[in-house]
Amino acid sequence: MSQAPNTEALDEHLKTIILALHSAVNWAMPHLKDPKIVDQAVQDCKEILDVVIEGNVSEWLK
Amino acid sequence: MFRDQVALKDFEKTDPEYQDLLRRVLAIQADCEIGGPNLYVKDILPTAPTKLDQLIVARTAAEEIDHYRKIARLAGEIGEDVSYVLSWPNQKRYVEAFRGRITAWEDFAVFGFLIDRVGRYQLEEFVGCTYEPLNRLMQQPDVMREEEGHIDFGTNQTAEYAAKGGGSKAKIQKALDYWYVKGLDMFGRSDSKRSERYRYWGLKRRTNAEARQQYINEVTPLIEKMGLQVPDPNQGRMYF
Repeated sequence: MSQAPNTEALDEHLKTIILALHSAVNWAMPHLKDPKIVDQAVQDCKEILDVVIEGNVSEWLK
Repeated sequence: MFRDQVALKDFEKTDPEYQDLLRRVLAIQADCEIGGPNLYVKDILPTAPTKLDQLIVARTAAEEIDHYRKIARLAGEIGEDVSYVLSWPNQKRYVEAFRGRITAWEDFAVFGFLIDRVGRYQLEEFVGCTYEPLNRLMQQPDVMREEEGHIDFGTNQTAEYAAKGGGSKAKIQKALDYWYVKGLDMFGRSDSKRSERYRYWGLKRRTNAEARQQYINEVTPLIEKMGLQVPDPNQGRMYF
């Protein structure tokens, strides 16, 4: 059975995205009393998630 | 009833109906996993009640994207490209519950309480299934544990807002009324022929009606304990 095109590339790209989201959340979690840090983490997550939700897969895999 | 374990290398040798059903169920599952973040991220991430809640929304989205990734990989391995669901508008989603947009925290809370719980029922169908890579994925603790985390957060938030009484309780009841029937519909038609074929091929365990009834039995006491009204199970339903 041959894999669908881009299976590996998409998997790797999504792994990077997921890691970046977890890193931002884990960085901010111990600093809940420091709004600057949390706001920055939320902003980072928002920017990453906006790209995911836009769903422009062909752009991601260029 | 088919009860063999099918490895990836043997997939091509299976009956065409088995192949079609597996491709279909993986595509729907992938769509449901990515459908959640598409419903709530835009409006709920910036407006969640607290900083902690904002981070939990982001983490929940990250976990759902990871569930999508894992299912998409299984689909890709059998030649099924499900990346199209990443760019679908919400209105095109396979499952009706994912076709709108969540703009209020109360809806996000109840979505976790009720819809992520249906998601857990869907995943449970694959535990011990005949497609070995999918069964193996379900044996790993991550996906189910993360889904449980989403359900617990939603359940606690729903209970908290119900306990506040007044306007908060009224808003959470309204959200409950909306999502309860959507959740019941997610189990599909009780007389679904396709569901029987899934069971024949060992790709699902319960009938739609059995799973729906178990779900009702599980959520009814939880709703009552929160002091909320169990919605009419027939009001606004699409599938029976």
